Amino acid sequence: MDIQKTAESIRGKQGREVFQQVLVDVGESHRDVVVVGADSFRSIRGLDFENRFPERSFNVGIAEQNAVGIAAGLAVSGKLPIVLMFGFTIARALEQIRSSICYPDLNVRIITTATGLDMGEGGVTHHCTEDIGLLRTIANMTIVQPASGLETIFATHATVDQVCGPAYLRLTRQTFCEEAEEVVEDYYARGGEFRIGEPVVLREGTDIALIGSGLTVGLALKVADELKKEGVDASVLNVHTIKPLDERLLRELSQSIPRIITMEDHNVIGGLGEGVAGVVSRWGSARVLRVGINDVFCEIGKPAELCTHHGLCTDRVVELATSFLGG
Amino acid sequence: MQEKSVDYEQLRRNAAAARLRAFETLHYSGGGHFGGVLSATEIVTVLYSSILRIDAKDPKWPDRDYFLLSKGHGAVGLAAVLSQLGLIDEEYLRSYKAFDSSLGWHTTKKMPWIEHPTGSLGHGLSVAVGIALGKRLDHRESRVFVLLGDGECDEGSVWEAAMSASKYKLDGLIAIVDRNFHNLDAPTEELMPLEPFEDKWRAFGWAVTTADGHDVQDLWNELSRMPIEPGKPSVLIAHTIKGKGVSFMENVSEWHSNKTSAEQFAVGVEDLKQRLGGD
Repeated sequence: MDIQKTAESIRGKQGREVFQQVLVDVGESHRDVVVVGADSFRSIRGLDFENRFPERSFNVGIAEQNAVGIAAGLAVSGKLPIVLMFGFTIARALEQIRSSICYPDLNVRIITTATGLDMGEGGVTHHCTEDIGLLRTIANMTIVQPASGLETIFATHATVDQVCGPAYLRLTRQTFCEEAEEVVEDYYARGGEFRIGEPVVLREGTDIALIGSGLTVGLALKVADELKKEGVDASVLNVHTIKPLDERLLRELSQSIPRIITMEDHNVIGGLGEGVAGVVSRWGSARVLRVGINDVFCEIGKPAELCTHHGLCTDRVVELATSFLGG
Repeated sequence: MQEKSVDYEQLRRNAAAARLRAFETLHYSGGGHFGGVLSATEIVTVLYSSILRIDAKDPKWPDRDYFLLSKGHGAVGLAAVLSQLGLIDEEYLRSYKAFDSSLGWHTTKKMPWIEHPTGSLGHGLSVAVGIALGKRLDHRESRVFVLLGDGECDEGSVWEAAMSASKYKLDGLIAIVDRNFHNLDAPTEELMPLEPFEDKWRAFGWAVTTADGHDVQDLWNELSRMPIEPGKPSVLIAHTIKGKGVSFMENVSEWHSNKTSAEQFAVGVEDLKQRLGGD
């Protein structure tokens, strides 16, 4: 793949728009891949796959429990099912995910958009700030979230090919910020690879580590830029695999850097931050500050407005980082 | 493999012996799901004796018929039937509820002959739909049989699955409902009425038939003509008695899951032994 050319062709696209073509590519290269949707083919961008492979597409209507159960059965019969879901419906089908997919360790991929605060104006019922917490607690589950359009391509292929057992791929219907697109592209252009379970160190610094996943990688990069102006040397990590976390890397990080800030478009309870804090509390001396949705519902607003309101914005995180470093 | 001539007397004897095995296993292990285990014995016996196309030596034969025990609390009853038919070792029943055993209250992923673990209700029919779709894509002849409890049909997910099975015209999918008329808390029609039950399935696009779920000949007649109608999933509503065969358990919701005293056990064994020679 010509990294630069590909990156240019998708720049400024929503995560799901990028995914649309990748799903077709996956269908071309994997005859055993089937897609199950719950009236979600249009929104999660599965229509191109459905048009190309109608016999391998199953739209079961607004019935997420059934979609997940059917995916389990398709996996039992030897297929590699991908379930397309709105993020907030994960909770609806959670028991099927747990008992019918994760317990028998079936090869099923669950792919969502409308995650985090993607559907800001949709209101609380359409926000998705608990999915990672719910799925992290289920054994056998892998959780992946890409930080740019280009990484969405790699993450989708890796989730399909590198995982044995169930996996959750959390995509977005937002666009990624330019900074994230560029820095992540640079990593892959220099020969970097996407490996499940291996976070990417995008910047190396010694004063503080800023850890993001998905859309918050861009935020972490911007915060690092601002902190640099104040003479603070920040590391930036792209934790594209939220489960399993890379314990070795986090252990080393927490033993060499005194402060860690995690950022997530998710409740601070149950998400990336708690995962990181769990590892650090075992091995490191670093202190961890978790930035995210502080256990509240977010009401109506554009995603950016809601993020700003809830402190997921450059200015606020820089403020927090400054006082965290001083404290 | 399906047989042309069926020895109903043998089926009857096997079912009676399996029921006694299950009853003894439940008693000696300290109790369990008596009611729903005893109601499903003939259904499971007829399926594994003469309906399912399986290879006794190769449970994973690719062209086999699949069976899912969606009412997973019948696990020990299924194990009793499998051991009675020689498909698993008789000793296996002794592992019931033991530490690290693959046989507990509900089916597990490690239990022999189990295609998919079950227990929480309302999952099995969706999984069966998925298997049937996958087998159709591979142009396999496999059929998928799934046994549901009637109380299980309170679950909305059962009807989501029912709709999808008729959308995809899955005539290789055969559901059997163990219609014993009892939930855990109370009789079905008191707790959450299911009737008109046959009409519900018909309205969801299924071909429907019924049988006396304890009459092996009636069960065989209905199950051996599946699918009932090309292009439609089939459901057999098998009328059964919860706690069948044990006088004090029959039609008593409290025996959904319970334990037996020594005296009760003696009565039960006496009741069940009377049937060993056939009706």
